[in-house]
Amino acid sequence: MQMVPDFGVFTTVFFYCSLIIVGPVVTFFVVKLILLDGMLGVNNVTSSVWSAILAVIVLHIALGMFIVKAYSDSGKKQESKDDKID
Amino acid sequence: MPLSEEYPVYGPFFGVMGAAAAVIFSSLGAAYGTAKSGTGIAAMSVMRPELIMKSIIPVVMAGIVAIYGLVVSILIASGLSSPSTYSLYRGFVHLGAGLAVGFSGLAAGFAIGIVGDAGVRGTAQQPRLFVGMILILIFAEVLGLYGLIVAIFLYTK
Repeated sequence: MQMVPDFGVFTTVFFYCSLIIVGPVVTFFVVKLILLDGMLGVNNVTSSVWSAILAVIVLHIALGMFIVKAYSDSGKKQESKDDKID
Repeated sequence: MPLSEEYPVYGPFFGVMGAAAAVIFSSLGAAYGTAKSGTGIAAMSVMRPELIMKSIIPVVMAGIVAIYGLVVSILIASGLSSPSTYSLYRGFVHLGAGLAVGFSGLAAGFAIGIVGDAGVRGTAQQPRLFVGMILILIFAEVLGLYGLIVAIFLYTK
């Protein structure tokens, strides 16, 4: 009974942390290579700057999702903890 | 090809130092923030292990400061080239961009570490402190974001 919520918390934290770490880096290189090679033939500085900005935006969206998840999830946890005290 | 005054052989040195400074100082701040708030989480989790998911947030925010430095470092490193095509001016600009994000990240990491430590310990005793802790952490994080904005603005010069 104790093992399952712990594993759930670990899975959630692991998912969001990997999203926050991998997401911006993948976004940076995918956007830069697609902008450079594929669709638009913009020059190096412009594509780098725009992919950096997009990477930071993706980073903050992932962070916001994690904060919302942590905030809403521990509200549920609070009630289950009250049950355990009884 | 003889190197002129505007394109000296040591021109890329400044750009390389900028790329290094960006990631070194940001990582220094992120390491301090992670370690300082990590001790708070470890002390708090002994009594309130159900709050771990909430308490991880300062660690994640400290990691984000390092990602700022990484992004600027990649930007500068992709702009480096051999001395014959890399002017001294660009070297200075890249050094300034790296130092801007590096020291801002250092400051943000210190703030996140101290706030995270105290905030996580306080949240264990008064859960309503959580919103305040998040707000203070966001304001600390924004210091690093300012450095990133200035660095990207400098990089485009």
